[in-house]
Amino acid sequence: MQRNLLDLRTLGKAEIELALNTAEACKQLFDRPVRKVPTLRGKVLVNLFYEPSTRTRTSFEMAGKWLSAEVVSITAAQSSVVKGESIKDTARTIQALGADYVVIRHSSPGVPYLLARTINARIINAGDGTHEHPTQGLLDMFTIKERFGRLAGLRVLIVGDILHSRVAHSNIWGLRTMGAEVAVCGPPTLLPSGLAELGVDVYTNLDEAIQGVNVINVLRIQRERQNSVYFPSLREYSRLYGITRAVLDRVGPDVLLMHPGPANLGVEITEEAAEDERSVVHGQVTNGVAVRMAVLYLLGGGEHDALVD
Amino acid sequence: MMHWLIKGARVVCPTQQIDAQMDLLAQNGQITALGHNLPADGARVVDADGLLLTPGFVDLHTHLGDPNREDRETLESGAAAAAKGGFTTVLMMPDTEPPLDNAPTVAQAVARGRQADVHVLVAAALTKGLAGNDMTEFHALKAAGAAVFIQPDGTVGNSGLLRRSLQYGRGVVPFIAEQPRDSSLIDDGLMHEGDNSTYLGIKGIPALAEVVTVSRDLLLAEETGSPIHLSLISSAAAVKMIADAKARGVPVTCDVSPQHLVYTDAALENYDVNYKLMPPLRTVADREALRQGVLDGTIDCIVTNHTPLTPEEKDVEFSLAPYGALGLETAFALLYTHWLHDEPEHLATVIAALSSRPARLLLQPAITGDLLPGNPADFVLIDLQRSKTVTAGELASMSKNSTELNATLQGWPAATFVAGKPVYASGELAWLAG
Repeated sequence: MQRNLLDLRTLGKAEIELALNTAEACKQLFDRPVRKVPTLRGKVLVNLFYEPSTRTRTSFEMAGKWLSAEVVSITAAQSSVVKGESIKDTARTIQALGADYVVIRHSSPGVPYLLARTINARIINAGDGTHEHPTQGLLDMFTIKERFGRLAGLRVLIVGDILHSRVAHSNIWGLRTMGAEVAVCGPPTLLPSGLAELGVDVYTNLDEAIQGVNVINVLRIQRERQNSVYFPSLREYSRLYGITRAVLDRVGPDVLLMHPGPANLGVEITEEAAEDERSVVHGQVTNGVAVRMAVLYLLGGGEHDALVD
Repeated sequence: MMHWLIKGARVVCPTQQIDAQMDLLAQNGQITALGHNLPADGARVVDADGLLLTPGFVDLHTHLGDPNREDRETLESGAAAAAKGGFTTVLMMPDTEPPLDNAPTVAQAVARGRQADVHVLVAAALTKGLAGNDMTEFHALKAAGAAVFIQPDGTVGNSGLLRRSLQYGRGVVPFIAEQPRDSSLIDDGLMHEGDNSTYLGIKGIPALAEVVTVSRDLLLAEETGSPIHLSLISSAAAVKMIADAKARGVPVTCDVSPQHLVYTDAALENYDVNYKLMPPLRTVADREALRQGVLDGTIDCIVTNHTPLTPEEKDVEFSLAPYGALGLETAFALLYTHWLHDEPEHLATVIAALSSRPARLLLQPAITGDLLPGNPADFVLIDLQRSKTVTAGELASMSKNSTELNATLQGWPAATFVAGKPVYASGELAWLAG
């Protein structure tokens, strides 16, 4: 594995496979009477979050703690420029305090790269603007693989704001690398250019998009992102792209429904659909801890076999 | 004043269609002879065998921090950077603090500029405070020494105002300039909209943001008959539109930066903020169209858009970093290394785009951009063999935001003369500067 986990686009198939297999081993630890393993004892993990987040931050905290790392979480002011403190300066301070791992979330794409250039600690991208969210991508792939036993040959549909979704981007790159078919569906204004050239099937009509899919991954519509600029209203969006039980029924009994959370129930997904037995919206959270443990473990230079033993 | 005989250089002077090994004699600040085996006639002899001798370069787009942002660049450091890059004339942009939008500040900048080692001409603001709402006092600014009027980093969004400016300003200065871009199409975009913006998760700026405004500007220039200069063209579509307009006689000229002739949006791969430019770097197809535009004359000149920014303001989160990069010191070496080295047949055309073609647009008798005897002795000697790695410490600029940082480039100016005086010299010619 590389030093840092900055994106899934440049991660190879073997590396993704290793991460997913390691996550499986990590998940097995959950069933032991003593869950904690001493793997990262004496190591310091810093969560540096410039955007509010509950589940991703908590997930990294739990992952670090179960590996016996010292975990510190910092929720920083939105913009370093406004605050008058540069992010490079903050990063150097954290390094000086002894951080071995820095988990970074920031609203500006590329900030994890800036950190990786600035300090020696291992950098994990926990979401950078509209770029990527690699551990979420790994977690989604893990969940799909857990259900179907494979990724290659499956057809995965991602519905929603593809343009602004870091989750969508990490999913697309990761799934393509692993040999899955990827389709996306959303309003034309929220579909970025160049996807078709990457072998992604692009739809604007949900009924056409759901034909023959194994997985539907529903993206959060971010009300705070002024989506009114991109489509007329949430009501119209919901009517055209909202996932309901009727939509699931049209796909079939075996479809897997996912949502990275937190969901706007009644907008991109109805509560009925989210609570349907085909939905794994809640199961994804446990898998998130396992995947993040695997990433921390592998970036630390750990061998897969050592963890299993 | 020292007289100089430059012996045995390969002289390239596009206006005279010269590309031959010759001698150049400079006396009393003027070029007095260009020929073979010229006698020294009391001049100091410079052995320039193996060097290229071209007219001094003329940059129509230089940002300086002087006055009030001397942490970015002073007049002196900017002039040193220019001389080091072979530029003997720079046109200073009016976006200083405060902007050069009234006669006293323009007069002051002109007077300050006269103290520099290179010719510093002053472009005055086209609109008050560069805010795009009201015309500046064209006649007063002209009288204070303004060379042209420009909206250097943006468009006059108000089409009526631009139309009236073209009508009112016709004949006052050689041209009125703006950088064509539609801010509503840029929206919150930060780089060229295309595959790479999708990969990097950065909101895109469509080429259309440029083309829409170019289209409007061409119509305004055509209707008013008043010359407009479009700064920093970046897209193939704009090049084509300008070529068509020129063919039907629209009084339009335009320029492009060396970066846009060399790099593409792929340069942003690692979120290197130095490649965050406005207009943005675009695709290979755009770059090729821009090169072709320079070669066929659709694009009149190459300008550096030298934009000094301190590390504290530039090296921050990608979305917060201001646009712009240094350009003066590395412009020629960048073009030579990545273009002319492999296509040497275009050397004379690119030199023209850096010297005589921009000089011609200024309509100033003292700025000619050629080596015609009788003209000021503004020229540069270039060592096309010399290879050098660009380092922050070695840059003459106060700022270090160069797209060429840590790159090894070939083809560097060895000595630069302004009005017969050596203002920069290095290597074997270092004695000239002493």
